[in-house]
Amino acid sequence: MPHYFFDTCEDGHVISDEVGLELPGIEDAKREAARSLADLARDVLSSSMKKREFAVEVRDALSKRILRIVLVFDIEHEPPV
Amino acid sequence: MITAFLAKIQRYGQVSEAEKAFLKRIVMHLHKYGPGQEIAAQGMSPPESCLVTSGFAGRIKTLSGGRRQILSLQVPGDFCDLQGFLLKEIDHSIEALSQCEIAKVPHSAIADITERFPRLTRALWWDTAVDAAVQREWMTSMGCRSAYEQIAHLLCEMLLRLQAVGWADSNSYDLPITQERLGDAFGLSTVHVNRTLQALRQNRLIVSEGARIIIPDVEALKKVAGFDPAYLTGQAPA
Repeated sequence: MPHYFFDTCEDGHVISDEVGLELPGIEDAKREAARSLADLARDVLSSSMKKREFAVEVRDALSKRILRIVLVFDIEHEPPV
Repeated sequence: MITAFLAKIQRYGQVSEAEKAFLKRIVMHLHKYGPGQEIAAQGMSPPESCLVTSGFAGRIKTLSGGRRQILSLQVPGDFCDLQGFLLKEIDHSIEALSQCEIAKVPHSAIADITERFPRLTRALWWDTAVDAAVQREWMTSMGCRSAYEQIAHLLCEMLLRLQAVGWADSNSYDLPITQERLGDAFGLSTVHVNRTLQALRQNRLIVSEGARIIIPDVEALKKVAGFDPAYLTGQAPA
């Protein structure tokens, strides 16, 4: 099975994955990246945060980036009437 | 073969020589399983209950599309399906999470315990009660704790449970379970488990050497997890 690496970016700061994961194919890698982004959001998002951007980048065994999923958190207040 | 189980129930109360001899007689048939191998299938009514004598097993529910939830981790000295004695049909499967050895204790022998050894019967009841307390803690982790707290909490719990049965030293133990299976246990993606373990390592709360988990400062990890061990012991009778 191909090996994929999942790097996490929090506001441009990259946490590189050195272990990686063996998965049947790119669709599984995409699903895993999306799930991990949802897990990350559950842990860190709060109403006291300013605008934040999280992303997961998937690399293949040759370190070539194959996809990137971005999640933007932003609270937009309506102006007072 | 029954060392771990004896060590565990002796925390509840004394076990007499006659009781020990009986347990030794009924815990005889050992079965070996490799990681991922099914020990008992969901919906079956096995005529015996599985007791882990070495390694790790888990209770698992499987949903459509291959989604899996590991409901609990069973370590040496733990029954996986003691409830099967009363409920007959088990509502979950049992799977080896690492290399493990299982003793299959016939329900007829458990019936004998309840008829001949009241103190041992209470010890089994106590074991079931502690098992339920562990499940409540598991649910709390799934619902309320962050992944960081949840994993820290489980690592603290494993240290104490494995220490109680002689499978951990003062601050380390082997946890030969893949991150993928840990993800199924935590309800987290494998990537998030990996990311969280990495954060715990970076903060020097754990050190891992292969399957070995070393906890340099147990009190610090307990603090991060908000870990209170009371649920694991209960109060032994006076």
